[in-house]
Amino acid sequence: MLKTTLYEKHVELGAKMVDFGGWNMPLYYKDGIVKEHLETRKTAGLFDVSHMGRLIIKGNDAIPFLQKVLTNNAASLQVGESQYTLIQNESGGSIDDAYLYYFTEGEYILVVNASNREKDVEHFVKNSRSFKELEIIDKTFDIDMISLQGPLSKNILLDLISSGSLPEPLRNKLSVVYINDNKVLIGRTGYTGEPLCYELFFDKKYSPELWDKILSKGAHPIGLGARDTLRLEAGLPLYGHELNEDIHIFSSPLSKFAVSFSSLKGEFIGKEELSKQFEALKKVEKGDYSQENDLPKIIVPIEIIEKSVARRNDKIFKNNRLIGYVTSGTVVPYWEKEGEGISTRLTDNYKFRSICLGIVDAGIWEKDYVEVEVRDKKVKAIVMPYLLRSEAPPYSYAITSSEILIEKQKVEQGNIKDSLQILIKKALDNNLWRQKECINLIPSEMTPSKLVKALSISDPSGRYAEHKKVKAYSGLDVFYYQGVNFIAEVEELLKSEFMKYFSCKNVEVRDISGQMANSTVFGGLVDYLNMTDKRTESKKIEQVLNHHIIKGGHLSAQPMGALKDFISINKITERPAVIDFPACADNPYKTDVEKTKEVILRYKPTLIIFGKSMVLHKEPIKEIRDFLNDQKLDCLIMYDMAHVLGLVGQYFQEPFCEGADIVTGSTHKTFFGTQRGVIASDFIETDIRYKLWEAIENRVFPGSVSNHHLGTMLGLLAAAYEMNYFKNEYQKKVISNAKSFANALTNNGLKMGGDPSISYTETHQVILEVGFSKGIEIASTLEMNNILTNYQATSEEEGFTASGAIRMGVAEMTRFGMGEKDFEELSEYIAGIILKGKNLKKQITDFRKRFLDMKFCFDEDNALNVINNLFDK
Amino acid sequence: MSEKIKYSKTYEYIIIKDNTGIVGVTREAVEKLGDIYLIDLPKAETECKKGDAAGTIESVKSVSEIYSPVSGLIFEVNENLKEKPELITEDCLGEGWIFKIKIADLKELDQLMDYEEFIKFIN
Repeated sequence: MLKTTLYEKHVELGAKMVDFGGWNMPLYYKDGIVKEHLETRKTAGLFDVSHMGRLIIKGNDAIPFLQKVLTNNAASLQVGESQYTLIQNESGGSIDDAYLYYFTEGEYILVVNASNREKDVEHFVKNSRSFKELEIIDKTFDIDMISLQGPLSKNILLDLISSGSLPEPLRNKLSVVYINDNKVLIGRTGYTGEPLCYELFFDKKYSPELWDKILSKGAHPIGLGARDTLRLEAGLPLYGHELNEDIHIFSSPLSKFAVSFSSLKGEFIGKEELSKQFEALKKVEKGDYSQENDLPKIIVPIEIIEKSVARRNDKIFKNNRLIGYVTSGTVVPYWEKEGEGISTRLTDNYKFRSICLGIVDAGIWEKDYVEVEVRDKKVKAIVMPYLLRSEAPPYSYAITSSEILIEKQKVEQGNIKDSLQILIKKALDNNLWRQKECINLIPSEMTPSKLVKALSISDPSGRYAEHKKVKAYSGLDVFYYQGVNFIAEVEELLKSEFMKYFSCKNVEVRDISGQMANSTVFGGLVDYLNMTDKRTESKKIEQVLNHHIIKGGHLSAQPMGALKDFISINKITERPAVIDFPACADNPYKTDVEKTKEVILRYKPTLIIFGKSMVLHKEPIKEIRDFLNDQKLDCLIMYDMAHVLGLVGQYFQEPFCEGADIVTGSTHKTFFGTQRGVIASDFIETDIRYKLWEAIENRVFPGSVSNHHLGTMLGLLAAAYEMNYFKNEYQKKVISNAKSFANALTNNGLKMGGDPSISYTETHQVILEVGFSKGIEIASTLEMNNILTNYQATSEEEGFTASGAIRMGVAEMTRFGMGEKDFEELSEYIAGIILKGKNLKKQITDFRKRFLDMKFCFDEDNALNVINNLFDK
Repeated sequence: MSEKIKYSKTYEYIIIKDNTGIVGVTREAVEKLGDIYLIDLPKAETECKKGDAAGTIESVKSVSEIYSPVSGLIFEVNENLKEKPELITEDCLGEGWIFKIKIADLKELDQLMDYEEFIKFIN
């Protein structure tokens, strides 16, 4: 038997050693399989995976070779990325499953299963004869590999790294670090289903030291027994069980992510068979079994409902018909959960359940009941959609059959009049609480003035005023309804106020939210791009540069947000054609302008979307516009001002002066308005791009809106008057308050994100860094003390459930009269709550009492007159 | 005759009293099995021969058969193990007993090992 470098370590730790694929490997250590499984899910597990094969593939023919012998699109990998892939045979089955890593330019590492290494190499050699400039080097005995998985794994590695940084918090990302003087390649990959997952490659000389170091930081050694129970719970296939030369590749649910039919692959081994399987799969997923012969079986996770254990090869039945058999099965432990929604936690109690993966007829659906024959007895089981979920880092959560079978509660018929009285009381209580007792620091929120509120509920709320330009009438708007003279004038006046505010020529005010304004622009842009050819499928926006959501970008600019239907798919990466602004290495909240220029030259975006929802800095519009002009690149600059719309001016930015083409925004964040959206541009009518503006206007109606919520539009006009009148005073105060607030929080012992030399912020926002995954808890605690904030994931965190920061904005409270000294006082309270666990709800409520009069608005008595008038009999 | 304990090559024990025996699995078996999830008990009032399978134990690692160390009539099984299989892990010689058997041929007991022989055998 072969031994890994760490063999002695395993023996020292008391492992039970077994023969695995010809290697002498630890099956379990002293604590046993169950404890190892549970520790990986709660703390961190360390696995010696050096028995797996590591092959280096390089040379000019590396890509064409990999495209032929692997199922995934190797050419789509950028340096610093990896992908799951299969080594396929001609008949659409698999020779092995593997992972392809691209750490260094020109060199690929392919990790394969230990038991198949020799078979794989033989297959590669046989299929490499036509590639002259290709090297395949087996480095299994030179480079070692260990895997660290679990909620504490990130902090363990952060503690050990001496230089370099961990990969970005997204699966499949790679990086290179140094631990003392030893080079370690790290990939965010793993075989356990844990969201925090790292696999490490390094020279084998360093193995024992690195193993010990990681264990000393609190990781637990995990053997092959728990490795199997963990992967089974995660629904991951094991070669020999769920994958083999005969089983159709697309029977395995992960194959969708591992097989590519990109034209970049050309003709590859098994392409014809795999294409047929894929076509069949697409049909099967819609309930169409006409192509069943090409994909008769699929692999599904199953939970056994009766107390019994299903094991490999046990038969599976449905209504007494044999539908398949178990490919892998055993008993696994799981931590019980408590709490609901965002406050879900793992408890200290664990239970067992019997689960398996089964290969069954393609028509079997999730939540179908089946029977597994365990030693001559048929036991009841249920097909699960999944057994484990990893989208709420840093933990993974077991999902049991009782959870997925929860029936929706029958809606109780109540007494409507009573319900209404209760509603009124609750509404007034809520209003009192938020308006009089809380300090509202949520940066995207604002209270409109009483006058704005009052006007919003008057007639024309409830009316329609759809209108469209008709060229026959000299381009003037025609209204489709009667009784619209007043609101038509209001809309024109509102547009004027915005034109003054932005110093621009064109404004559109009908969209009823910022996100809608963005979709309208994207839709208008697509219409503009296709304005000559309306007969073929619309071409989508070719290449976009935006802020990634993990770096503070807003949803509406993401391909999974409003951009979804408007962005084309990049043929090489097979993903939406979006690239994101690089951030400065020393300040993740600031865009690295020089690196951005490199990205622009490389990808030649046709649309740049500035604007973020976690924002501390001005956007580098001028620098980028100047660069685009120098390079003669044709690119549209859009600035989604969202949060900072209320700061347009000398104290922040003047977007059109700096070179923006289109500005969108939410009128209810730093801007004083009702909740609506706005679009603006400065094109003159003789500019060819004015056609883009017309396309945008056409998209608004009849594309985005029918009714454009006239009440809030009237309110917005009053707010625009307020804004234009008070903006200099207001904007200056907001920014100085934000800076004071950030400085004061720092002086009170808290850690702020951003650049201390500019007092951390240039906007209304401050970012408080509270530590990995502490954000949710701290935001809750602050809320219990009547301070309302947002938990926020920074670019270090995997997702919002692991938020490590608190996002706050000073605009609303500035409007209620808070000044720098007041924010300093507030920061003492916040520090007391966070650092000393004080309960300061009463103090905060008293503090708020000093700030109930709204500033930067006209005499609020006006509002009372309006209300009385509105409701006067 | 006083109580005597004998051991089989397949890691079962039998506590002998007169001509009945209480059968279970040894601590050494428990260590090999790991965390026990489920016991499949033999049926009460069944005859069995020495070496016949009489129930199974499911653990995370595997299924293990329980083999009767003697021939005879199984007249009682430990129903508690259905709800609490962990009794075997916690107290294999006491609360974790599996079944009681009326021994058909006392001479079969000579083919079993005493504790020292058993320990020597498994090492």
